Amino acid sequence: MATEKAKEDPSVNSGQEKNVKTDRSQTVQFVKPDWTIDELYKKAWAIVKQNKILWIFGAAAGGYGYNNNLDFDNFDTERFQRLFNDSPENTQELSRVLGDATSASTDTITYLFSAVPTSLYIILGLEVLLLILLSIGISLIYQSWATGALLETVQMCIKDGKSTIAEASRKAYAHIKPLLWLTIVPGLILGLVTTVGSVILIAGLILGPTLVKVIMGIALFVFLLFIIYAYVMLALTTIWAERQIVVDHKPARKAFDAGLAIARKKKWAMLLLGFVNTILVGLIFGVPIIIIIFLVFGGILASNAVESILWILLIIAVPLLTLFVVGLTIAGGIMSAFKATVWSLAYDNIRGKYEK
Amino acid sequence: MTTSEENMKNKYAGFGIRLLALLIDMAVGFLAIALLTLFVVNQSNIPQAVSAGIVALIILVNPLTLYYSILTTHYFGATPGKWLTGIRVVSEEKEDSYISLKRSFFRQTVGYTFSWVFFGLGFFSVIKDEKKQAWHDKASGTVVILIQHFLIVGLAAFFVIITLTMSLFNIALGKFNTGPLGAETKQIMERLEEEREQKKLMEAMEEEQRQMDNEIDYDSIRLEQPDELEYYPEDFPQDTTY
Repeated sequence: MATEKAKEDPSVNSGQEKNVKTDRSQTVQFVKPDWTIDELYKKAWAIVKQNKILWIFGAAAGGYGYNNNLDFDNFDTERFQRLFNDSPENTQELSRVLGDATSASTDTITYLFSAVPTSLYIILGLEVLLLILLSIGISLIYQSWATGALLETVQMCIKDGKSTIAEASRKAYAHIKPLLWLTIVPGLILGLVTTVGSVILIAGLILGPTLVKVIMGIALFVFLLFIIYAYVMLALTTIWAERQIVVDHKPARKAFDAGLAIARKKKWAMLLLGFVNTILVGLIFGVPIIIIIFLVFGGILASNAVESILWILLIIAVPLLTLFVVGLTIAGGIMSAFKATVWSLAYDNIRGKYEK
Repeated sequence: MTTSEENMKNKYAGFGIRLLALLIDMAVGFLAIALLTLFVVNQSNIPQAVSAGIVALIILVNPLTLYYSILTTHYFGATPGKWLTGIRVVSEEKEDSYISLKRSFFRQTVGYTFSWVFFGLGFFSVIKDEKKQAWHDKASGTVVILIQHFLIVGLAAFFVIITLTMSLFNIALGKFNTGPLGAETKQIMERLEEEREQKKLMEAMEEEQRQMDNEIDYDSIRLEQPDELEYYPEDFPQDTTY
């Protein structure tokens, strides 16, 4: 019966069954999970500890916002807030500028810029815009390359136990385009849907009659829940899709579809792992930051009573802060590499099982 | 070390000469800024100087200006600094050819950013590396080789450029202080200062008036109205005709 069950259910294979009794009267079956957090963390830590090159690529990938290791600080909740809230600071700033504009010193400013032809402003504006677009482009290319290099290095370290910058970079170069697609396209589409949907629903909520307002309010709430779910699924999908691109050399679109299929089946296990990652990151970074904040505040309060403490505090604060910043950067690189390795090990366990 | 190993070691440009090349490039950048500053302060009045300033800004923030090293590295294998110090950037696979435009773009943008990870540690890796490659060289598959020993030339060029730059800034400052721009700027600053003081005076007067208004409680002031007018007939002569 155990063998028949294995034939019917593709998610269970011979490697995963434990304690299966051959006696036909017993049908209890224990299915080993695809991964255990403990196992992943032990293996990942062993790999990361040995290969310092992972720290470098971890810092590189982490430095430009590669946080897609599902530690919940990646979710940009600010984006949602911006859709619904006016910023009082912006209106105050506008009032201040308008107020300044009515003062007599605007005559001076008008005089200063009186000889500048309009064409110069246009050229300068276009140049600045081009520069911004170029910077964004370079940043995206860098992020894609760093992600690819990190994942390639992880794979090489898992298989052979060693890697070099040159080799990882050379392999990552081929993955820049698909990883770029993965970074830009799904997020852009979801962003557009979010913006358009929110605008329509909010407009209906504000402008419509009472009945329409009620309907729009409910619709907005449901829409918000859907958007949150969509962003969560996008983050989960991207984790697998990146590995599909780097490890299995799939094109971007196919990798995304496969990643989505896996994410749908494994979302709860992924969320649990992501949650544990968040706690880990919080402990490693949060505890030193809290200690330092308490030390600083304690020192400042103590210096009110004894002035010399302030000077001692300042003398030790500078090297301590430098050490802290350096330590934080290295720890950040290690954490980034560690999380990437954890997910790559998890991917190795489920490769080819849930994609269809 | 064998002769061939020593030759191989010596042909790659070390940290010192690469640092000198970088310093020369930075000095050339400052020289360009000094020339543009001189161009701006040579104007006859402030509006024209502002116009010239915007032209200077257009030249400086031009992507070609900021990323010129991509083109020079592709076409000449070197930036001005590297050219003056006799070193060239070449492909690691074929050391006799310069790198492609795509690879040059990757090296100068992505590669350099990568070398800045861990506070520029990637640049210092040149010191210990066998082929004297920095992280951006490893990432882009390039090496920097010595084609001529131009250390003295490079040092001389660096000091000449720095001296020239400082002289130009000095001249520009002198022109500004003694020329029409300086005088006009002074006038405008005085006018603005006057305006600011007047504004402060007005605000102080308004504040004083507000305080006075607060002190005087107009509601509590009532003209004393007697309940009835008290006429005393003896106050008015009886035989007065109206």
